[in-house]
Amino acid sequence: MRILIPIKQILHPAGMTVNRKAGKVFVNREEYVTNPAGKRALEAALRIKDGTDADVIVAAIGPTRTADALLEARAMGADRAILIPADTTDEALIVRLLATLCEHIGGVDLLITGDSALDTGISLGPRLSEALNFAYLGSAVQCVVEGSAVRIVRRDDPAGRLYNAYEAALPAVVTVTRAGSAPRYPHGGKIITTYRDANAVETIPLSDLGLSESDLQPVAVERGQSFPPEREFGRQVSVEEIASWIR
Amino acid sequence: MDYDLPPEYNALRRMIREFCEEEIKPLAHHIDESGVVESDLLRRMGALGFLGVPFPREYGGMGAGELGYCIMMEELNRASPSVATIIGAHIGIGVMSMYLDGSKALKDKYMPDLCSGKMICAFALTESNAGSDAAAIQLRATLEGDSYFLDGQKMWITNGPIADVINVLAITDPSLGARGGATVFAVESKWEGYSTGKPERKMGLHGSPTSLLNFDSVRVPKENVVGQIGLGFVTFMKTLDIGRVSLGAATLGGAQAALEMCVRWARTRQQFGRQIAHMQSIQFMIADMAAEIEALRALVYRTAWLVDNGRPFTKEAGMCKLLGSETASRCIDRAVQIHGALGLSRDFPLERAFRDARISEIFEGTNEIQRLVIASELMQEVGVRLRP
Repeated sequence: MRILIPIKQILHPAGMTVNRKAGKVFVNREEYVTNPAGKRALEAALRIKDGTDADVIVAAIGPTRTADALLEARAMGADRAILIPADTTDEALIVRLLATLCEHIGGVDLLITGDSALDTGISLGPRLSEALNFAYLGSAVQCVVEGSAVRIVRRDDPAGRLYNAYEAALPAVVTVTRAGSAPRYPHGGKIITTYRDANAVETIPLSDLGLSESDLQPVAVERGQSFPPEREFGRQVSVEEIASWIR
Repeated sequence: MDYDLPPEYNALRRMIREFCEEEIKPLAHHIDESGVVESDLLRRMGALGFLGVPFPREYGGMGAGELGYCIMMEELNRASPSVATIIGAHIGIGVMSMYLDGSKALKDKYMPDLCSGKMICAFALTESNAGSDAAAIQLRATLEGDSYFLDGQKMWITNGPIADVINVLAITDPSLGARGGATVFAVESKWEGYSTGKPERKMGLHGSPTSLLNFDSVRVPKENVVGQIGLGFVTFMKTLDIGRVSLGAATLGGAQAALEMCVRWARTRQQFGRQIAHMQSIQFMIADMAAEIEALRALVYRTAWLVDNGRPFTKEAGMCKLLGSETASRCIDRAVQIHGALGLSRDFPLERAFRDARISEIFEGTNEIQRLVIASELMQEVGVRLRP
């Protein structure tokens, strides 16, 4: 079985400040990390791999620095890492590239990805399932493969008391939330050997996918940034006051 | 000249920092209060390679060299000096003394278990009458048939109560004294005649257990001699030499943690109607800390580079330990001042940091001994040999 994990790098949230007055986000420290939900998606795939002979492939689209996220995923246990060097953040294009990649590597049975990116809040899941015509199971906290079906557990109640299980036949797309299993730490020795291995990450250029730079015209155009109005401070209430509401 | 760390070391630091932030820091207060580091934490660190960072993979190590080891010690001490001290005594002096001079057979026997954390190591040199004067040791090893019998006592041994293997320096030839007549033995704690005292009650490092060790005719087979008979003192001095580098790295982590707390506090705390960050008195203290820490960082990582590249490093290693421990104490003292009463609260990490830092000026060779080491290296360069 072949599992593809699309991951992305985001700016470390602690390295940024939002200035509402200036209407700008200032990057104080340019430090990149793997999107946390993506790391949990990888963990879900590695857990499936622990019990079966699944082949876990991680893929990322981005500039050369993105290789760092892929190397980390290899150190955690991914079997193969693919970088498509293209500097685009347009989700429609990324989904198209990923769908083409799936075909290029000879098809995949399961795609697991983070249910939302920490920087944009967007999930690739529904778009990927549409593009590939795969079943879609979203917002999993747990994900297991049984035979030719994938089963997930989803928290269906915001208070966290109700969990439901859903099942779909493979091939399927699953998204994992940040409440999924915590990602494993890579072994230190594995980090050293992976990063020193020049072939740990394969680069597949656009031309190999039958695409060119001109195919990368973004569908959505960014016109600027705006910020929601600052929230007003609430009112402090006493226990007695709350009690009076209940009565 | 390239001051960038290779990418694998950046990734290693990121993993270690994540582990420290998630798994160790939340326990640091409890470790100090209870005086115990759960063996499960050490086991999990062992599974990630933390307990054999500098050693080659053939012996079960991580293969990350002195550079990787310094990175880990900096990060560990930033989170919990108690945990850092257990690991530092285990790797930096315990396993290191076996790795430097032990036979291949001995290393094959113990190092994989030591590097994976199945066994914990200790280094036993200090005795009641032998501290800075390490050559004054009296623990005796006598040869009978194929075995040595160890008799005597060691004191203030870090990891004493939890160690499974202890590298002990003992006198094998009293006529020659320590220099020429001392030998290192790898002793297993389960052997008959070996026992430990009750854990010492210390000012700081409450989670790092320290005790005396009793040797009552402990039989040690010949194959557990580390290095050559009679050359044990050299092995131990070499070990201490290299251990000073990572100790410097650890103090760097402690100082860095104090600085980070101060920067955060200067932004949060308001006095006289504005953040205290706007007060020059605070700015000056923070700036001094940052400058000293940066100098220490440059020294520590350059010395790690000297070690990994097979250059002489004795003088620089002494400097790492000397400058590091004093910088950390100074920075933490300033941090307490900046935090005011909060710095003294037992519910806030600075009070613990203050207590934990003091020992660095004492153990693994007092700072006075470090000054002797540095001076003797300097004078040797102009042909003067200083005797302790």
